[in-house]
This record gives sequence, structure tokens and C-alpha cells, in this order.
Amino acid sequence: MKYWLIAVLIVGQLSAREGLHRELVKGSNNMTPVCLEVGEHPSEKLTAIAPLLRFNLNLSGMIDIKIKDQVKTCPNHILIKETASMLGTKYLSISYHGNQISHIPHHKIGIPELNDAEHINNFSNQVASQIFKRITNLTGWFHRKIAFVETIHVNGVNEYHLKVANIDGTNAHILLNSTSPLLQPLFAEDGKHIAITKITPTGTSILIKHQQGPWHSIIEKQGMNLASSWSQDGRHLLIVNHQINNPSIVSYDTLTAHFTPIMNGWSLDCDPEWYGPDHIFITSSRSGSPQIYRYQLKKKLLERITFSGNGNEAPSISYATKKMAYVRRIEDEYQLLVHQFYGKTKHFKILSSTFIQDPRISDDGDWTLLTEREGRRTVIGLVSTDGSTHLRLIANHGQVKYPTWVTQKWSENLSNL
Amino acid sequence: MGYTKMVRKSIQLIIIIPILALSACVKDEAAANTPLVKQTTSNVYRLKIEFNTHQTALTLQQKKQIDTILANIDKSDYIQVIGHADEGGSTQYNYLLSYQRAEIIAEYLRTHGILPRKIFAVGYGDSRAQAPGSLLLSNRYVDIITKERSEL
Repeated sequence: MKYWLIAVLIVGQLSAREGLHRELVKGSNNMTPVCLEVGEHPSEKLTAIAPLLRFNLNLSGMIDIKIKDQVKTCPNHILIKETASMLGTKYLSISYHGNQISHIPHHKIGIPELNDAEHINNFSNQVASQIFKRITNLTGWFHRKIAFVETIHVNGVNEYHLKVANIDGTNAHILLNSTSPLLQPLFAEDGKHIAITKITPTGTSILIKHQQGPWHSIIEKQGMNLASSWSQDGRHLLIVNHQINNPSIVSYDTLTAHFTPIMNGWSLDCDPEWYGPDHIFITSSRSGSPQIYRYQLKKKLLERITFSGNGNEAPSISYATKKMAYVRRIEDEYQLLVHQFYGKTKHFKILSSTFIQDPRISDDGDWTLLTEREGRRTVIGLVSTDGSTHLRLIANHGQVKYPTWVTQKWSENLSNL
Repeated sequence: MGYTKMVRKSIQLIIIIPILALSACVKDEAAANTPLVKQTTSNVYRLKIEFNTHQTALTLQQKKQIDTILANIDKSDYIQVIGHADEGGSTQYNYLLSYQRAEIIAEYLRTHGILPRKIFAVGYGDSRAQAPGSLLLSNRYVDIITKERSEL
């Protein structure tokens, strides 16, 4: 029994050392206290999963896991048992008892093949996400994959790695290496393309990778070319293209390899983000300071969305939930705000910090990844959209920037790479 | 006892105050003597052109700074102008702003007799800030790197 437990903990720690580790910066004021117990005569696998589940749920900042022997009474209980169907298929059977959680229906999760520590880790992350969702009504993030750019200083030279990892830092692997800066990786929702910007000594190039194919350049010329946002269908990539005068925004069609001009302004327009097929959001300096605007493609109408602060920028949109995360600057303070395109309340401030850049709201709208600073190096922040929870994902070596969510379809593709 | 302590403190202050004043003067003098264009290595010129927030246009004084190196870099076969920005903006905004700063200097070089084909303007955004995490003027600078044909 101890063999599984020790193997999981050691391998888990080793994996995390190569990637990221997590720290809870701020938890909710209304954490749900829970004792998580396993049924009688648990198998080795269940015994191995339970401590990882407790660890993950405790780190969520919304659930306070109590150790049954260390508290007088447990207000809420989660009981996990291993059961088998008539045909022998094995399940985790999870039930909820207590004033705050007894309304949650009992549920079962099929147990896949768990051949090694990595499988056990991944499965316990999935179970944690499901339990978290039922208790908090927010999508659990424990099973999600993220991508980011890691910068390491080697022999006086910076190396840039595009990395993909589980959000707990395990199973990290490099998708692209470069000695030139890499910026803002973008995973198309259809799981077919990844785009990234590479700064070169004579200009910039935009690289695209089609599923398991090699990286290839779609633009490589002088000036500034920045990959910015994939359309919801994964076909069109918005690009900021800056040669002379002011930047223009163009759309690249992956099927035809054609570029279509979208906007050609007289100011510094950037950060274009699709909002459905007919609208884009941008950051523009046309009012003197960076502000966020919505542009209607068919009517060619531009509408200013933000007005306060020294600057509002970097819109990131969850089209499914009609929410937009963005950064506001007021003097030396950076704020992360969420704007919702429904209901009465338009803006919520969910985080204040000394530095926030590159917010990426999840497709379900519940979580936002961002770059923040810890001392002189940059780290990844993870904030719940209700503002109650804030975690940091910190690189064990070097610094990390430009975090982004790996979409579900890409997660499936990446497991085959 | 108290009187002795007071005398000691007074003596200390008498000694320390002039030293501090003198060191402040030396610092000011050093700052005043800092060359506006610093040649960091044999082929890297760091222009200490401090752009104001969101600024990309060159002032008359900034043009004079560039004039001081025109004759030197004119002999080079390859001239890379690299603009930098502080972190006070989105990543894309900073990269575009740093490119615009590099491009405005590249354009100035072109209009002052340097062959356009030798000049490459690039923006490094906030990735090489001199003081990461701050919005200091010193993070908004421009490098000019020159190379000879043999180095290409």
C-alpha cells in the first residue's frame, strides 16, 4: 500500500521540479469545510488518489479540507468508495453529507487504466475538478493544461521555450525552442493550429503549427507582426502588422493562406480579439491613452468601451459566457477587471497588483490566467473570475510569461505528440 | 553621561554631514557628465534617449544626440536599431511602441545619408528592461548595433 503512495509523491515532486509549482496567495472568505474520507478496505489506487485529492482541493482556496482525526466534528463529509458494476467495470463512487453539501447528488466516475504515477496524478486531478465544480459551481481547473513561454539564462544567452504542462506543473514538455524571444502562444479552439510570434534580429515572424506537423512561418519580414487571436472556428488568425506609420490589423485564413485587411488606423491599435464572427475588440491609443474599443466588421463601426484610469488594455474574451477580462492601470497600480456583456453590472475588479499583463480568460469564463511579478521575475497568476481566489504558478527555473489555456481538443492532440 | 553622548553625536554629525553633501555633489556631477550616447562595446551604441510615456517622436535635443554618432555608424555595413519600452502597457502595445521608437530613429538615419538597405529597425518591447518591474525612463531606450561585412 505504501509503495503506491511513495511513488506518487516522489514522481509528482520530481515532475513539478522541471515545470511549475503552485502557491495559494488568497483564498475565499467563505471556504466550505470538508472532511474527505475513503471507504473501508480501500484499494492501493484509491489510497494513492486520496492525498492528491485533499492536496488539490485545499489549494483551491474555496474548500477547506479538514483531517477527521484532528477536528472534533466535521460539518461536511465527502465519502469516496471504489465500486464495480455487474460487468466488472470499476468506478469511484462519491457521496456528499453535511449541511452545506448534502444537496449535491451522489455520482460515479469511471476509473481508467492507472498504470503509473502520472496516470494516478491525472485521474486525481480530474476527480478534484468534478468535486470542486459540484461544491463551488465553478469549473474545476485541476485537470486543465496550460501553455507558457519560459525564459532561461544559459551561458550569458537567453533561451526561450514554449512549454505545455498540466496546471499542477507536471508532465511539462517543450513544443518550441528559440534563442530569440517568443511571444503569446495561441491555441485554436478546434485543436488544429497553434500560433506564436518570434522576434528575430531583422524583424518578426509568425509561426504556425498544424496538429502534428512542423512549425512553419506565415509572415517573415521587417517590422512588427504579432499573432493575436484565433476565431472561434479556428480558421482565421488576427494579426497586428506594423511596417510604417501605424499598425494595421489583418486576418489570416488558414485554408487559403490569404491575408484580409480588417482595420488600418491612424493610432497604435493592437491586441485584437475575436468576439464572434462579426466583432473584434482592440486596444487603441487613439484617445491619447490605451483604451479598449469594439469594432463591428460589417458596419465598420468603432465603439469605445472603457474610459477610466491611465489605460485599459489587453482584452481577453470568453465568447461562450460573454465575459471579457482586461487590465486597467491607475498610476502605479494594475487592476484585473472582468466586463460582462449582459445584466446590469458591467465591470468587476477582481485583482489589484503592482504588475499584471496578458490576461487569458478561460472558455468557461470562470478563471483568468495572467502574468504577474514576484520580485524581479515574472510568474503566472490564476484568479477566479469572482475574485475570491488567487494562486501563483511559479517556474522552478527561470521565469514564465504569456500563459494561455490549452483547449480541450489540443489537450487530446498533445497526448499523441 | 548624557552630556558626553550629546557631544559625541554632535561631533559625528559635524563629520557626516559634509561627507554626505560632498558625495551628493559628486553624484550630480557624474550624472551631468554621463555621455548621452554611450558606446557599450566597440559596435553597440546605447542612445540614452528617454522617451516620455507613449512618446515616439524625436525632439530637437534627441536629434542632436543621434547626430553625434552619425559619422561613426555611417561606415558600417549593417545597422540594427533596437527600441525598448517599459512594462507599463500590454505586451503588444509595448512591442509596437518600441518598434516605433526604433523606426523613428532608423528613419532619421535614412534621411541623414545612411543607406536604407543597411538599416533594420526592431522592437524588443519590455523584454530587456534595464530595471524590470519599474516604469522608469531608463527602460525606454534605444540600442544601435553596427556590424562590418566580415561579421555578417
